[in-house]
Amino acid sequence: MNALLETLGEEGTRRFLTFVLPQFEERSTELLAHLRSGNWQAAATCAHRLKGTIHLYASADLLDDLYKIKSDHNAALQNENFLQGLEQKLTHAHQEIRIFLSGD
Amino acid sequence: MHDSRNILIVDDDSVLQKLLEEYLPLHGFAVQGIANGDKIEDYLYAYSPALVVLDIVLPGKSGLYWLKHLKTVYPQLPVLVLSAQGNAIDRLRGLELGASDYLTKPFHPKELLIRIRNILYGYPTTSHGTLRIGEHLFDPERELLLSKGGVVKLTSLDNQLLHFFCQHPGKILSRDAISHALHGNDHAPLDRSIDMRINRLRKKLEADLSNPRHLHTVWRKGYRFTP
Repeated sequence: MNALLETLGEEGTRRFLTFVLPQFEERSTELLAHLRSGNWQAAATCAHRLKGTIHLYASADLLDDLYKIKSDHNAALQNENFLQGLEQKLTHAHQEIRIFLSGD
Repeated sequence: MHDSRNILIVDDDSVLQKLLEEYLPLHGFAVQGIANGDKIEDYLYAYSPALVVLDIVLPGKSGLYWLKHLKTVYPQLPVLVLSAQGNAIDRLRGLELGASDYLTKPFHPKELLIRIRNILYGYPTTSHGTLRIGEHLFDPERELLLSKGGVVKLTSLDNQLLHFFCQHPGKILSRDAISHALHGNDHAPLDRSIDMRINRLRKKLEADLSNPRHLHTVWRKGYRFTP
C-alpha cells in the first residue's frame, strides 16, 4: 500500500482503490472458481489481469502465486494447501483495501 | 499537430488504465484510455496524442496489428508497447515494426513515466527520474538541483521553469511562452519578471554567469536551453 501512496498520494490512492475493489473481488472469486474446476486457461487469464497492478497494493507472495498460476497450468494448482494460501492472501488484500478506504 | 501532453492508452485492463489516469496527470500528462484498437482512428483525430501506449494482447485485432497500422499511417507518432513478461518474441516484433520502446507487465508507473519522457523529450534521465544538466542532476519531483558543490532546493516556480526548459531542449522559447507555462491563463504578456527569474536560475545552474552554458539569451526572441 505504501508504494501506491507514494505513487498517487492519499486522494489518488483512495480514488484508485475505490475503483479497484469491486473488480478485485470479482476477479478473485473467478480465479478461485476456475482453479477449483481445473480451467487452467481461464485461471491464467484471471491471474494475468490481477497481476497488472497488484504489486502496488498487495503482498509479493500473492504476486508469486499469480505468476505460478499463469505459468503452471496443471493439477498442482488444485492442491488444497496452495488454494487455501491463495484464498487467504486474496482475503488479506481485500481487507487491507477496505481498511484503507474506511479510514478518514 | 499533436498535443505534446496527451497520451493515448490502448489496453483492455481497466484497472491499469485507472492507475495511469491517476498517475500521469500528476506529472503534467493528460490521459485517454480505450480498451481495443477499433476506435483508435477516432481518438487520434479527436485527441491528437503525442504518444500511444499500446498493449500487445488486446481483444479483437492484436496490438501488433495496430502498431503496424499506426506506423504505416502515422510514421512520426511514437508508440510504446506493453507486453507480458517472458514474451520476448512479441517485444522484438514490436521493435521491428517501429515501436519506440517497450515495457513488460507488471511495471511501476514511474518506469512508464521515465520512458514516455525519454521518447517525447529525448532528454537524458537517470534510473531515478532525475535529469542530467551538464554537471548537475535535476530532480523535478523533489525540486532539487544536485551538483558537486551540494544540493540546492529550488522554489516551486524555479523548479517548474527548469522543468519546462528541460522539456524543450535546443528550442527558442519566447518570454510569453515561458510565462504561459509558469502561470497558465493568468500570465501577463510582455512579462519582464521572467528575465529576473531566469537570472536567479542561472546563478544556481551556471558556473560562469558571463558565459552561460545552459540558459542562453536569444536576442529579441527569448531563451534557449542546452542540457
